[in-house]
Amino acid sequence: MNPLRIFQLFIVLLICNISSGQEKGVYKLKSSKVTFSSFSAQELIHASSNQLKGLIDPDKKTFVFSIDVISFMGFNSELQREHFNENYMETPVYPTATYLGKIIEDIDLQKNGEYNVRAKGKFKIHGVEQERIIKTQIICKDGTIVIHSLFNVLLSEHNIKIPRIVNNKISNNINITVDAIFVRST
Amino acid sequence: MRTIFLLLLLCISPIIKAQKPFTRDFWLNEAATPIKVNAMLQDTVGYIWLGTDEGLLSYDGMSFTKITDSIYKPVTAIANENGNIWIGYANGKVGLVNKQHVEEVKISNCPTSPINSIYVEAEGHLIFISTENGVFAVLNNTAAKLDETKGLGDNFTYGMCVYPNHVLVGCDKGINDIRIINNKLTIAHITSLQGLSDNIVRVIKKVPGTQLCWIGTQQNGIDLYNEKTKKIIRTNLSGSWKWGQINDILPVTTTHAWIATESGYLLEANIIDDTSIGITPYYNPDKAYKKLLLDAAGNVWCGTNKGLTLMTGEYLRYIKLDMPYLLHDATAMVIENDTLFIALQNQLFQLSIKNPDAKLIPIFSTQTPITSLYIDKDKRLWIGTWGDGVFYMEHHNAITNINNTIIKGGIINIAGTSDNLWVSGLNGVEQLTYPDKQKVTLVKHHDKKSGIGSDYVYQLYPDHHGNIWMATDGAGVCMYDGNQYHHWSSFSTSNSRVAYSIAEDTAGDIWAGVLYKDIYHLHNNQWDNIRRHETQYVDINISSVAANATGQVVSVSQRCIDEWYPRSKYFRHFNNAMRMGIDSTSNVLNCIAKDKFGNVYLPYQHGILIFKNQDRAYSIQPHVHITRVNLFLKPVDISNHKFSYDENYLSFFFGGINFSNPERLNYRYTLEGYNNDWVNTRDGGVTYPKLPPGKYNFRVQTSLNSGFEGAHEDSYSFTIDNPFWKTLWFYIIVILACLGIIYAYIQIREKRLNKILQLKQERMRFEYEHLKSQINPHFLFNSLNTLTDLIEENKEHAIDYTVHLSDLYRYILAYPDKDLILLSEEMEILNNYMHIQKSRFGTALDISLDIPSNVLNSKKIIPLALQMLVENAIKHNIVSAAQPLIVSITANNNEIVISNTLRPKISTEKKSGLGLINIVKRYRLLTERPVTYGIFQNEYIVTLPLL
Repeated sequence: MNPLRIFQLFIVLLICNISSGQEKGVYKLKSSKVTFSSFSAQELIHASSNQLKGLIDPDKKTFVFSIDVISFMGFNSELQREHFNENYMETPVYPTATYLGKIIEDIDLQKNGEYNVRAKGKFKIHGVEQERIIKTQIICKDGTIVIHSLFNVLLSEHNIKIPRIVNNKISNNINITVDAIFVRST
Repeated sequence: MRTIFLLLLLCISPIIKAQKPFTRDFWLNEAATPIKVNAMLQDTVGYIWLGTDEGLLSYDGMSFTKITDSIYKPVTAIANENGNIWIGYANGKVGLVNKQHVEEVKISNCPTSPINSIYVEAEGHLIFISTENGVFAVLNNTAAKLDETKGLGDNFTYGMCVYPNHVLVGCDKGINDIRIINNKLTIAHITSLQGLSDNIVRVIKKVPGTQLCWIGTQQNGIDLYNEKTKKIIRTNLSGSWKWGQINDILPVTTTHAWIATESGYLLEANIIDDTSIGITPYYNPDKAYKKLLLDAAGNVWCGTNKGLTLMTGEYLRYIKLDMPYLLHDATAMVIENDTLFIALQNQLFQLSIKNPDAKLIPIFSTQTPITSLYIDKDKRLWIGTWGDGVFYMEHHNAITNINNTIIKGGIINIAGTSDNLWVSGLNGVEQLTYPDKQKVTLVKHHDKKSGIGSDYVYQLYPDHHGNIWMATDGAGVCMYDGNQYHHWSSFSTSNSRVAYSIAEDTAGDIWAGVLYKDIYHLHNNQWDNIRRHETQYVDINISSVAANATGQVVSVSQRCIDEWYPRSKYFRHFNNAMRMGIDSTSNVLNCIAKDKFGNVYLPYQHGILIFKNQDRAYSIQPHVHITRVNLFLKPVDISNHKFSYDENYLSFFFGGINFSNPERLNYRYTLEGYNNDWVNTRDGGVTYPKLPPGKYNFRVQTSLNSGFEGAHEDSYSFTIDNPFWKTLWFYIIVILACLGIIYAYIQIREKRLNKILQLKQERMRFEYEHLKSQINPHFLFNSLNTLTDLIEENKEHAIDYTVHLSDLYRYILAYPDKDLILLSEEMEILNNYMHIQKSRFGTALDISLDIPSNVLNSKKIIPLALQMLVENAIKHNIVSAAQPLIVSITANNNEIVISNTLRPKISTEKKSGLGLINIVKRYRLLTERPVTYGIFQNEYIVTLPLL
């Protein structure tokens, strides 16, 4: 690579600025259900929430999701819910879990169709952010987007500590199911 | 070209399926805890550098050395630019390795997100960095960011591939082809819309020698990309990937690459033709393969989420065999196309080396053990037995037994040339025709008497000229060229007469395994005995020798296998200490086989080892590197080559770098200038205390065996200076100083002599003048007149006067040869003179004296000076009763002052002032203190210094 070319490249990099496309209507989350379950030899723990908030930008193919951790209900006992919020998730300190990122596949969300896509972005639980690729099923139909996704979260990746005494009750691997319906905002 | 392709088609993809590489795992720390490897490279010296979550490590084959740095922990990218190691960190910082630590490279506008790959050019003036937040081009330490706003497909970027005129960068939205066209930044996007299997492109690697790139993706495996046409080539693998996210690709040849995946697969990929790629997976469920590196010795290093794994796939593989296979049953082997025939005692089995799940299939059995297998040019399989004669099998079915009078009893070995079949038995070698209607005929019988020199031939080996080489028991190696037998004197001593095995390498050299003597190597008709230094305590028998098609020669001993690299005189050494599962070898003579490509197969405990033809010219030669120089036990800057005379306690530390057999590294060193002997050692250091001044060169070489011919060397030359009193300039200064002193002495002496001479002359002149003045008739007449008067007036006074006059003349005659006289002596003269003059002038002359008595006897004056001055006063002034002449002489410690009232005579005597000038001159020769004289307030005053 000759020095002149290097210099050219550099100058071009510094001055070049291509403007991005225009904003169009985004999709807002209408209804949802998020469930998590933890299988272990001793006990099945599960809970769910319908408090998921979310937005999808069909042009940029970006998205953002957020959920209040406190909104999970349906534990085996109230005590378990308390432990979940206070001991493990530390909900008062880290009240929300978020996921924001982009859709990898080249699909047109404005067109009707059914797709299996990968969502890639920053997944944040318990204050610890991880770069995650999550596979999702998307159905686009007449201005609505229905998503369905199954994935898991490793507690160890998010610095969620399990006391040794309940070690065999709680698996490190938590399965999560997300179902949501988005509608185009007008 | 087409045939090569055909060959590739035939061999690579199917055969390798059943042939697994050996692997060996390494922990990166002593605690044996997992450390994730993010980046790897081998530098030009030979060190392997590992960028891990715990920082940067260097590896020499023996140990991992942590490189200190204070920049950040996870090292995520490494680049080698002309021997400089550049480091990218998970916080976007860039470092440069300087000796044993990393220095941060300050970049303005530098990235802040994890660096995924880094490329450095032109000594760091140009750096490309791909990060999770765009690509950075760094020119002279200023970064320009290229991101989505400037046309990049996605900010999250992974691998890069830098070409002279453009850069390919993989990102979450396919490939970016970045180039400058007409001063405009142009980015072409290659995504799934252009046929890419997957938009997340993690790896881009050039396929050597082609325009193609391997593209490794997150979900859908690999694609090929033609960077000239900018076209994605879809292959048979597109859409059917099942081995997980690709983390790295290691291209080895134009068609062959290794692929590392997150899901624990190490994949061997072979481009079969334009659109099909063969994949052979090796699965290791408890590892995620992160990075791959091919070192100079042909080892593939896999950086994993736990540490490092060594993989031998480029030179050694194995086929695992289960029962009924047992190593000690294996007696003979041969390969035809893809079928391996192996004799386990009396049973003959066949094995498909294509099929990954191949099992041993019995095809034939004999009464006595099978000793030899051979496949001739017409594809007949010949089977030699230990008592049932020879069988042959045509086209995998009809078996014919030849057990006639020609071939009977035990068969040792069978071989064939184009026209003849050669069978070695207990009574020599039979040269036979190939069977015609199931009948073979004897062409010639060779035995001890006919010229072999022995009746027992362990191996018959036809070379590429058609000569038959024979490994004999008793006559060493014998060669029969069709007419006569050739012997070499190398095999005439008692412990070199038994040869077991013979092979010809690709260069046409013959290798022979000989009892007690390891290996003989024939080059230019000269046998060279190569002995390994551990022979005496490891092994004495070499059971088999065979050469592959790329120049390596495999020799099998009882407890180890060596793979020789003839050009370098080095060998890979395999034994059970290597922790790779090569724990055994066969001691059956010549139980070894080659496939049609030249790969060498031999049995071991768990199946068959395959010493592969090697795609590249690998070098297993170890390297040595002087790592540290200590002065008085403290490290010094290795770029310093000069020491002063008292810096003479030096230690040198060196380390070998070898990844094939680091445990066998040994060194030898010498300090030229101290003594020229080489010292052998296995330690990595040596100390020289009290080195005398001089020029030195420390040299160290390393070897894997005891031979150092052509060994790699490192050296450190240095000088210990002479102490300053032994240096040339010191000598020069001393000589100059001596010369100066002598010169000054001569000068001073000459000056003094001159002065003395001058003084003498002046004195003589003074004396002369003085005498002349005293003999001046005027003075004499005056004196005599005075005397006459006195005689008349006062006789006694006249006598006194005469005494004074005579005293005066005596003094005048006595003193002039002296330079100085005591003031008292001078006063004596003056008194005499004054007496005479007083007698003449009476009251007209008044001379007052005021001289302290201590001065009189301690101070000196030049003789006759006072007399002279008083005389001058009388001479030049009017002396009369009316106007008496007053002369006063006063003295202190330093000077004497003669003053008189000034009443000059109208006509003075001539030659005035001569006496005074003489006095001044004489004083000047004796002292620096001045003689002053002159008129002051009507007085004439002369001041003489007292000495």
